[in-house]
Amino acid sequence: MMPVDALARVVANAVQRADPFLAAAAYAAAGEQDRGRLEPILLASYRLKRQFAEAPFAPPEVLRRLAAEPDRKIRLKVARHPATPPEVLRQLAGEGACVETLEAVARHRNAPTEVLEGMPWREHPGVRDALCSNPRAPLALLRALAECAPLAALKGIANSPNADAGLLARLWESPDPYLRAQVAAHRNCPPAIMEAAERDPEPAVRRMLAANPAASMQTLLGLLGDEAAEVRAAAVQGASVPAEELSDLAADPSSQVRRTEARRAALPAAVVERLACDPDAWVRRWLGRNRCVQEPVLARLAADAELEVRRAVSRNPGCTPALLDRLAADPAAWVRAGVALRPDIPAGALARLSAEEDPDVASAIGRNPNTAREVLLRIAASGNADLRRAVILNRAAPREVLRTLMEDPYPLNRVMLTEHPALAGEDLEILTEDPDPHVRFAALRALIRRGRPERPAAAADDSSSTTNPE
Amino acid sequence: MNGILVIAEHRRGALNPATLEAVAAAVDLKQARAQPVAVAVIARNPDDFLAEVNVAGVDEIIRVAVPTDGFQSDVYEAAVAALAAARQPAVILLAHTVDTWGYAAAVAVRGGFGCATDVYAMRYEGDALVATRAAYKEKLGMELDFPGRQTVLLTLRGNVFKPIEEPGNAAVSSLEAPAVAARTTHLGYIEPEQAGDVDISQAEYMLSIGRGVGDEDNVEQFKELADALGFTLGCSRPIADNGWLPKSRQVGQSGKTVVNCKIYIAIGISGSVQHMAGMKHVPNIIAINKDAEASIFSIARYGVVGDMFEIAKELRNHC
Repeated sequence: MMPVDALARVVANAVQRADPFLAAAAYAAAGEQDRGRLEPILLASYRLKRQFAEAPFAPPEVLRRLAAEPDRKIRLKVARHPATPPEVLRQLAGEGACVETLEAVARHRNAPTEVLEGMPWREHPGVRDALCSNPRAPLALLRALAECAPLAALKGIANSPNADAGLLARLWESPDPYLRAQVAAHRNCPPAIMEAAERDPEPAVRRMLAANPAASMQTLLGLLGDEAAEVRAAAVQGASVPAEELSDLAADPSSQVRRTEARRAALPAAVVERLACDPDAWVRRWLGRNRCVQEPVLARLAADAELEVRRAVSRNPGCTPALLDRLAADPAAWVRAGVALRPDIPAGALARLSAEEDPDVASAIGRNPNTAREVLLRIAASGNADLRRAVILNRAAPREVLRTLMEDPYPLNRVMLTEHPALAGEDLEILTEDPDPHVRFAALRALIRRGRPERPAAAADDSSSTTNPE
Repeated sequence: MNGILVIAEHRRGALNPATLEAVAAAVDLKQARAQPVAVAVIARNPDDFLAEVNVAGVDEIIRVAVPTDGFQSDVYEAAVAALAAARQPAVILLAHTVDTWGYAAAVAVRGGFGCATDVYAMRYEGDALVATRAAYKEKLGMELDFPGRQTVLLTLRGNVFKPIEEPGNAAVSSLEAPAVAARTTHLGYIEPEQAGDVDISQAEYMLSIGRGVGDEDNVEQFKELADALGFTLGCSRPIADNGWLPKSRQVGQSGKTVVNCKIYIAIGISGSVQHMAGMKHVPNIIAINKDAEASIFSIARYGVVGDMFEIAKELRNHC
């Protein structure tokens, strides 16, 4: 929480500079009286209101204020904003709301349950369909909606976590195979329907059943012998499939099945051995990433002719330091970049890769928490905005390196810089005078989050160049 | 005034494919209103390109020998002006490229020609040529005619006119290039930055993934899907920032623009301004996102609201 006097200075500064973006950041933390002073700046023009109503970074407090605007389009944008809080959505759905706003609230993930229940869906098909797709819609509402919703909307109901066995049983009666497939995939799907789904003539239904985490071992065993490769591929992912079944599947004629098997969290050693020799490179790629694969096989895959198989091994957490050292000398930069990203990279490999200029390797080195300060300084001075951003994204980067990026020519980099924990309050204060409005906003937000004041208003007199550049 | 004159374009010994598109446009016009098509090759050794431009529908190829192969706007301006004076064509067609930007307007002004750039359609209305080009950031197509102009010079948008592949039987002639004191000197070429494992700017079919992928291990299934569809895999900035795909695959403001893309499938991409800067011009954008309010839908031709992983699996099953 920011001290009262510090907050007063922040507000005074935003008012003095008439900067709507500083005002937006300060508004979130300000009290009622201060908000009254900030609002004329924040809401100075229709364009600003519209801009904040659709800005991904708009704080909920600003959205709350905008929801009270008389303009219908502004309110609609607030209703569509993902950060709009529940009580604001309740207000927006109140008396006089237009149909578009009602639809947006009906679809919104933050909408309170009682608001969803009270929506006039019988009068407005758009509102009805939006409610069907809202995972917060309660069971009683879903049941009522299912009475009259069209097929496309019924699929939303079949996908809802609140749909119970009774409702799913009703939906199962549909002739549409994709709706039945959704039912078969639902965690609450009743056993009787699962049995019926296992025999369904549509492969999509059997495939979705096979992917259902609630499917029994018996069901999965049945589906492993299915004639459709896509069904067997879905079934092989099931955690309850016994090890002895996996052995046969490693020789399945469909590469889709073997690829999926290579992704399983647990695989017997014999199956790993077999899949490691699979002629399909995708099988070996998936295996290379698999955390259950151990060193002897990983070492073989690390010498694979396919670049992407070696890259997969470089990203496997089970890769030993010796193997990482070997992969750090791989002829393909993409493989070396995979090693360079790892926090557990051996010191020798890190030193070697730190000298590389390939953008993927250099970017990975820039993000690596073990990278030396001098190397980070060099990357931070790169002409490539992506490489400089890699240093900004490195949570271990020291302040002295980050300070060199405070005037980065790419504004997005400066926005991201404000989120770095090593940047000092003084640095953020400087960034509140950045020419880019988003940077100023982000810097002040970060300062407020840290509970630090911006510099006193009297010291900001010379900042006229940043006044309302929009 | 009669006839259509096409100016060939080349660089480092290779004919620009846009030349053959301009030739195809000329042959279309020829069919609409009988008039001969001539293609002029301005080069140190014009003969090097004769076989390539000699396609069905071309009546004449004019060799214009100049002292250097490197493009110089003064040289081209003078040569094209001389060609226009000698042949008095009704229409001059050029590819809309960085080279023609350097001399097309000057030639038109010098000759008092009608002129339009970045044209993507042409037709005759009676005797009047009508050219169509975009306006207001591609939001409108506008039709232009050129009353009172004996000759009209048009630069043509790329990837619009299908090149003709059948060989032709054109007559070959020569025209002496006027002597020009070029104001610039061609020193050499600077190679563009390496495109990495693939040059996404040239890809026609792209499948791009964004933050919705969530985890590095999930990237593989989209690589596999792109592979199965025959699409080139791209990504938005967060994916490349995380090192999950090479930087060369990044689409957007700090990445690449997918210049030649015809179909762009955006999966789990919300549609930041920076990303859209690299792909919003694509004629067929298919957006897949769980958030119905995602900005990407505002530029998509087709939108699918749903779980990207489920949709990807479903797509994969149809490959």
